[in-house]
Parts: sequence; C-alpha cells; structure tokens
Amino acid sequence: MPRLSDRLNGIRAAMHQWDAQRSSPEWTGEALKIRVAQVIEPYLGEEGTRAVLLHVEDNGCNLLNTLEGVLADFLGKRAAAELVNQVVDEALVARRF
Amino acid sequence: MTELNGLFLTRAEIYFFDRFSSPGRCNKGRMIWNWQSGQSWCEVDQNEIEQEVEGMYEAFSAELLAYASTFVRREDCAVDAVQEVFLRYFMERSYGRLIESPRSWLYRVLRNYLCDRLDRAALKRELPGVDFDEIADPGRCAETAVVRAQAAEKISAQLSKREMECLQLRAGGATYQEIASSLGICMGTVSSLLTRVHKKLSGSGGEDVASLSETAGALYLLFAEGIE
Repeated sequence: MPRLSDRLNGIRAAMHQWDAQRSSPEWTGEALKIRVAQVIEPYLGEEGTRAVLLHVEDNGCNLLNTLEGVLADFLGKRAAAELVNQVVDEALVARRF
Repeated sequence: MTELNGLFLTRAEIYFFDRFSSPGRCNKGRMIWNWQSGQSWCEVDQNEIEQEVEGMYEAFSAELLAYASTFVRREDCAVDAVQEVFLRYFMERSYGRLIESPRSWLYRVLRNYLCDRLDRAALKRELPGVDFDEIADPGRCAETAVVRAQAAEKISAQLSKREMECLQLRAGGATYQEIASSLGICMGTVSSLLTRVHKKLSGSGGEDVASLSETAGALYLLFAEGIE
C-alpha cells in the first residue's frame, strides 16, 4: 500500500491536472453550458434550460449550485440531486480526459 | 449594474462563512450575490477547495480504502477508486456544489463507482481462501483460521446484500444517518436492517463469549481482510 504522503501527492497532481484543463475553452462559457443543456433539456425544456443557464457564471463556479436549487423546486430535492449527478457524469466526468 | 457609494458593482461578496467546522463537514466559501440576476451562491477559491480535499483525504482515505478493498482484490484498484472519488469531490466543489455530509457522500460515490466500473462477476461476494503459508502470526493457528473462514461463509450466506452493506458501514463507524445517505435509503430502513442483522448473528452463534469472539473474527475476515 502506498504511503499516505504518496497517495496525497497523487491526488494533488490529479487535481492540478484537472484544474489546468478546466481553464481551456471546452470547459468554460458556452461550450460548458451546451454540454449541460443537453442533459437537462429533456427535463426543463428549451426555455427553462436557457433561463437557468443564464445565471451560470462563465467559469462555471456556480453551475451545480444553481442547477440543484432550481431543479429541486421542480423535481424535489432527491431527484434534483440525482439529475445533478447525471450532469456531472455526462457533462463533466465523461469529458475529463 | 448597481451604483453603491459611487462604485459600480455587478455583484457583491456578502460575507464569509464556514458552515461546518469538522473535517467531515467543511464546505467553506464566500456568499456572492449577483445584483442583476438576484441570485446568490457560494464562491470558493480553488486553493481552499484543494485544502479541503487534502484535509478530507487525510481524514477518510484509510477507511475508504478499507471499504474499497472489500469490493476489489487488487490494492492498486482500490487506491485508484478512492482517488477517483476524491477527484470527483474536487470537481463538484469547483463547480459550486455544496455537499452537506462529505463522509457519506464519499462512501456513496465510491460504492457507485465500484459497482459501475467493475465487472459484475468480480463483485460477487466470495470469501478469500485461507493460505496457510501466509499465517505469520503464531497466535493465529490454522484451525482458528479455518473456523473463522467457515463462520464468515455462514454469515455471508445468512445476510442479504443490503444487510451486509449496512453492517459494513456500521462497523466502519458510520452513523445511521450516514449509512442512510450512503445507500440512498431512509434511517428507519437502516435501523430495521441492522436489527435483522443482529437477530441473525445472535441466532447463528449465540451470545456466549466464545461465539461472540468467533463472530467478531469472522466479521474481521469479511471486512478488514477483504471479500473477493
């Protein structure tokens, strides 16, 4: 088993790698919103999706918080959390590398 | 844009807050309010999130590794799975998600990750064979190891998958609420499942010291040494 310090270095390196990647155009602004829209549009409709994503900052720093808040009003807290997980899986994690 | 004391602002930092102070509950950030949209959210510096993740890694990685090891045989797979879960935590926090109970979140995501990722066949709960050559501790004689393995097999056969998961999380020190959140069930169900587990374990071995010791050894074999 690798030592804690080695494992910690591993997770640190992975975070830095992802952070560096995150500043690329594919991960910010419109590109990010389009990917997210593809996941939530079936639930919120075109107009609803546009309205929700309008309030998301370009760097996405309030993306999940905004989505979860709005979705919870429509779908309930638990379903909203599930859908946000789906957004993370399909729009963020699947495109990671 | 709003004029405030001669300054044009589109948003304002309202206050700093630290909702939770313990390592398990440590979403930090600044509350931001956007004048134009009327929305507010919690903004966190990337360095702060990184520190948060590192703190949590130090606090929880060992128990999560032990948990992951009960799903997968290979140590490096368990390490990778745990790392993947912490990275996901980092990503979600970076995109503004507030995670109210990080410990149970970590368990839940790790469990889902392992179930999704691994081949179903590899997830079959099989007990490790007892390798007599590897018994280095003279206190652990071959006979004891066999008895434990048999008891572990018996317990494994008696408990349902859900009961086993509940017991495993409880044995790892998780609260009822954390177990409920990790498995996506309500607390009443956790309570029922653990009561059933208790009845089954008591029924199978009795309550005398020898039986309890045998059960404890079998559970150790199941949880600490890994199910393959």
